[in-house]
Amino acid sequence: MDLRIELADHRDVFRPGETVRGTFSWSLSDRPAELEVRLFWYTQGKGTQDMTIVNTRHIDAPRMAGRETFAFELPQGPYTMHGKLISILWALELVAGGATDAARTPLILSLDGRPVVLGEPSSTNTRGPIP
Amino acid sequence: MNAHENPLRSDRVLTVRYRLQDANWDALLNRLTDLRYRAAILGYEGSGKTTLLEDMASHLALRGLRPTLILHNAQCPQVNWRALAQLGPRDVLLLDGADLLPLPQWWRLRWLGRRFGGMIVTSHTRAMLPVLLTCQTSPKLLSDLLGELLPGESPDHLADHMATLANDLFTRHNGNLRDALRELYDRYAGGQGDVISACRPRMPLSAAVSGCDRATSAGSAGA
Repeated sequence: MDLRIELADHRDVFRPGETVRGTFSWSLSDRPAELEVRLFWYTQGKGTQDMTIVNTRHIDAPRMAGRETFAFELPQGPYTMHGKLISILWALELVAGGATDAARTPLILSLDGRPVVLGEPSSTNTRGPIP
Repeated sequence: MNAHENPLRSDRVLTVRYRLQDANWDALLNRLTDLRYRAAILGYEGSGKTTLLEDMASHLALRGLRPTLILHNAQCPQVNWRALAQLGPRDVLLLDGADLLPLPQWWRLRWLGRRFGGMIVTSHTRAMLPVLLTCQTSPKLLSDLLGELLPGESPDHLADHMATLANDLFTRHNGNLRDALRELYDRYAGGQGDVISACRPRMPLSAAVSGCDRATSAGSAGA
C-alpha cells in the first residue's frame, strides 16, 4: 500500500487566503471504494482534541493506482500556533477506503511564515520567511 | 515544552487502552453473557471506566452486536431519547455516567432498555445494574502507563525513579490516573520534562546527576 501527498515546489508554508497545490498518488493492493484528500486543522495538547475539515477532494471508485492533483484555498485562520496548553496544526491527509489507511503532510498557515509561538519572542523561531 | 511535543498530550494518552487485571476479555464477555448483557462497571474518577467502555464496544462489535456508546457528562448533559428509541434487540447501549442521570430519567431508560439487546453502564459507586467489573488503579499500573507514554521507554536504570514518580502522583491524586497524567503534562509543559526532574522533590540531587543526563537525552530523542 502506498499513499502519498506531494506539495507543489515542496512548499509547506502559506499565508491566509493562498492556495495549497500539489499531487496525491496511490498504489493499493485492492481497489478502494473511495479516496479523499482533506485539508484540515487540529489541536494537540491538554484536554479534548478538536479538528475541523476545511476542504476535501473526493474520488469515487478510483483505480488501484493513480495520481491526481488538488488545489485548496486556505482560510484566514486559525494560524499554526504552539502554546504550552494547546497547539494548532494544519495538515493534508489522503484517506483510502474506510479511513484505516492514510498519508498525512503537515503545513503551516501563518502571516510571516512562522508558527505563532506563545510566550516566546519571535526571534527564537527558526523557520525562515516565506520564499 | 509546547503542547504538540508534550508526551502526555491527550491524543497520546488516549492511545493507551484499558488493561484488564485478574481477567481477560473472554472471561469478561462470558460473564457479560451470563448477566444477559445488563451490567454496571464501577470505579472512581480516573480509574478507566470510559476507556473500558470504549474497548467493550469494539469487542461487542466483534461478536456481531451493535454497540451504541453514549457519554453522559458535563460536556454532553442531554440524552438523545429519540435516538435511543430506535435501538432494538441487536443493539447494546453503553452509557458512561449513568449515575449522573436524574432518577426519573434512569427509570425511563431502564424501561426503554427492555427492548435493547443489552445495556452496560458506568457509575462511580452506585451499582445500578449487576456489577460486571470494578475498575481499580494502583501505583504499579500508573508506573506501567508512564513507561509506555514517556520518552525513553522506561529503561531499566530509570525504573526506580519511574516507580517513585508513580507513587508520588498516585498518592496525591488519590488513585485518579487521569489527574495524575494531567499533572505530569503540566510538569512537562513547564520545562520539567524528564522523569528525573519530575521526581526531584523526593530525591537528593547527587543521586540524580548521572541518570538526569541520560533521561534528558532520551527525552530529546523522543520529542
